[in-house]
Amino acid sequence: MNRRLLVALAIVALAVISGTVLAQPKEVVIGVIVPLTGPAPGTGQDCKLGAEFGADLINGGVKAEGSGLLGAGWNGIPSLGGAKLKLVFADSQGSPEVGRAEAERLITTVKPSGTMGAWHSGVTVAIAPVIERYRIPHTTISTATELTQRGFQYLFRVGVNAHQGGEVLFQYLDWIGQQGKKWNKLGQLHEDTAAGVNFANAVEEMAKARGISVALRVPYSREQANMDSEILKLKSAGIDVLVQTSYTSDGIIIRKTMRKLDYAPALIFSQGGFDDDPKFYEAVGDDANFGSKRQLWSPALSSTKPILKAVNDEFKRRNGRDINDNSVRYITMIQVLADAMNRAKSVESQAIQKALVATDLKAEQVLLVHGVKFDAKHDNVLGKAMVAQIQERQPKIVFPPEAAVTKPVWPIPAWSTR
Amino acid sequence: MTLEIALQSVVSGLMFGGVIGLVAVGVSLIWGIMDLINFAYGEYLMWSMYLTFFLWAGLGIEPILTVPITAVVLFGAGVLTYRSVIRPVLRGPIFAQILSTFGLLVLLRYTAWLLFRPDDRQAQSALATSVVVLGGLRVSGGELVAFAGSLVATTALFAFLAYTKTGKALRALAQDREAALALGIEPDRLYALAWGLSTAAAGVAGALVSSFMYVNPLVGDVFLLPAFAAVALGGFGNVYGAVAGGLVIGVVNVTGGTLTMPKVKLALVYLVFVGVLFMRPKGLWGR
Repeated sequence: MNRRLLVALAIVALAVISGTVLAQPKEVVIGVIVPLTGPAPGTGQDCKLGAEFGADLINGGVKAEGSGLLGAGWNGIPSLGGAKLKLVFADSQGSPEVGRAEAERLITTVKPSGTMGAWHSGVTVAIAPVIERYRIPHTTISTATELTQRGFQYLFRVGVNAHQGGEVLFQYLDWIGQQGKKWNKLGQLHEDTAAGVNFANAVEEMAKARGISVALRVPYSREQANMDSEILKLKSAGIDVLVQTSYTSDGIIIRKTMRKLDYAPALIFSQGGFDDDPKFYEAVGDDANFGSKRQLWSPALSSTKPILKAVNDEFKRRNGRDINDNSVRYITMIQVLADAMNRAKSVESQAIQKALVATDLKAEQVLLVHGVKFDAKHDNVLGKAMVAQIQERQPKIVFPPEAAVTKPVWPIPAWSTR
Repeated sequence: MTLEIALQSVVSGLMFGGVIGLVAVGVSLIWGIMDLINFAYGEYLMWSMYLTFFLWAGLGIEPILTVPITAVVLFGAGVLTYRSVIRPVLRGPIFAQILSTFGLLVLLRYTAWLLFRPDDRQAQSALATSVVVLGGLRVSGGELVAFAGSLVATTALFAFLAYTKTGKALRALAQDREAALALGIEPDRLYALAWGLSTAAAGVAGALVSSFMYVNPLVGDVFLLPAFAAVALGGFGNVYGAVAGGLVIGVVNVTGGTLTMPKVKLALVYLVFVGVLFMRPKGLWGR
């Protein structure tokens, strides 16, 4: 071999090697598993809009410079040469089996660098082993406690867990007591899959720790046409603080049955779900009013985050609806993954996983009321919530007082006066 | 537990039972006349609910007013089903008959799944949200109309079977097929009619429940399983017994759930079902 040929070969080899090292991906694929059809399609749609808005923020399509939000002023992922986020959606249909199959299909066909979802706790429980097996960095907002108890390395809970979501209920009840308002019996009504059972367990534990007894717990299965016995049971037990976990369709039947059977407790508190879904409001109208829920976002927090209103206005201009608890959490999950990819300077799953572990986003950098920082189990240690009461069909923050935009209506007015 | 709550639970149970009864009547009719269980019956109910939903969503027709439309359309669907699927297997072994209605279930359910996706949809009706209060007992307008509609439809079917010539021929066919044939009764047309009437009952029930119940491709099971219990309770093939069975099931479901724990209400329904079959294998009103 002559010398000239050797040099030429060396140059080619160098070009190939440096090419592979230095070539930046033009786009980064993120798989989003949400219930686009099934019993919570309105919810899935909100998640999708949130994820798309979040991706557009990272890709430079949403103008939010100077807001301090993570991704504001970016034009793709900076450390990856401006690689754009590309979302691929998969429909869980709200079913664990379908969700698991879709997660597997998504991972093997589009080869995402990260995934998120699946909203329903029961579905997330089913897909967690799949994403762990394929080692795909995955963010979720599902609340079921068990998700982070199984030692998954690639699963990160960006939202609150059942305990963090329940904590605010007891703070609120304390505060209500300080206002001189009374209540007697705490009871629970919940659907019997992971989200309902985990939250009810968490509330029961927290109540016990405070010396409060749960007077009645009524689990129910979602597929039924008649919920009279559930409501009659709560009514006859005199439950006046009701903790409810329901998805949309059952939530609608329950609220209608409450009106029919004239059951109005002083407080209905939910961890979101039915009362985040626009379809619930379409179906029950003004009967949606006065329910309270754990709330994770409010554009009215503008005194502390002036940018929120502007961002919400832009979202509303595009989608015809306000950002709600579901869209805001999907925006945040996109930010969290984008931040990790940016710090990892790589789309390689182990590098992203490592970067996710070191995530430290302040509340000012995201739209949520809380920041994002993971503990050893990948729960978000900063997770916390506010209480919103539905007034005029809108969630209005009533607690904590520093974030409140209005006073709570306590007790919920009797049905005969509404 | 006050007396008022207990009474309310009975009233709520009767309202629910009325609808279960109507579904049970349709199942019972085919069983009584042809000795055939239609496993796909819940799917006809589901399709009727979709029809009601789309009539409401597209044309703004109040769910309750779609009853004549769903009844006629589902009647046609029943006759068509008989002619295309059931008639060919009638001479076959019993397994062929069972499997054919099971195949229908799969076909109808997953066609709906394919076309409508598994979303829950519900027509909005002012009637459903209105509340009627009588002596402290409360029912929703939607339930009351469904209950009344159920009773009217069943009574009409009863009158048809008892007093018309065709109805009598149907009953003759149910009692003794060979004797009916000897008397010149033509079974084929009557079987088609029975299928039509049976699925028309599903049509009526679908429109009636749509004002207070959402529809998705799996909703048939919610009504069909208690309806099967009602049929067995009332006596297989006994149309009037099916209604009574429905009412019993409704009360056991709601009152039983209220007195014990709501979570066990379906278990109570099946406990009663098993108990009755154990003591009276032909059902409470079976002959």
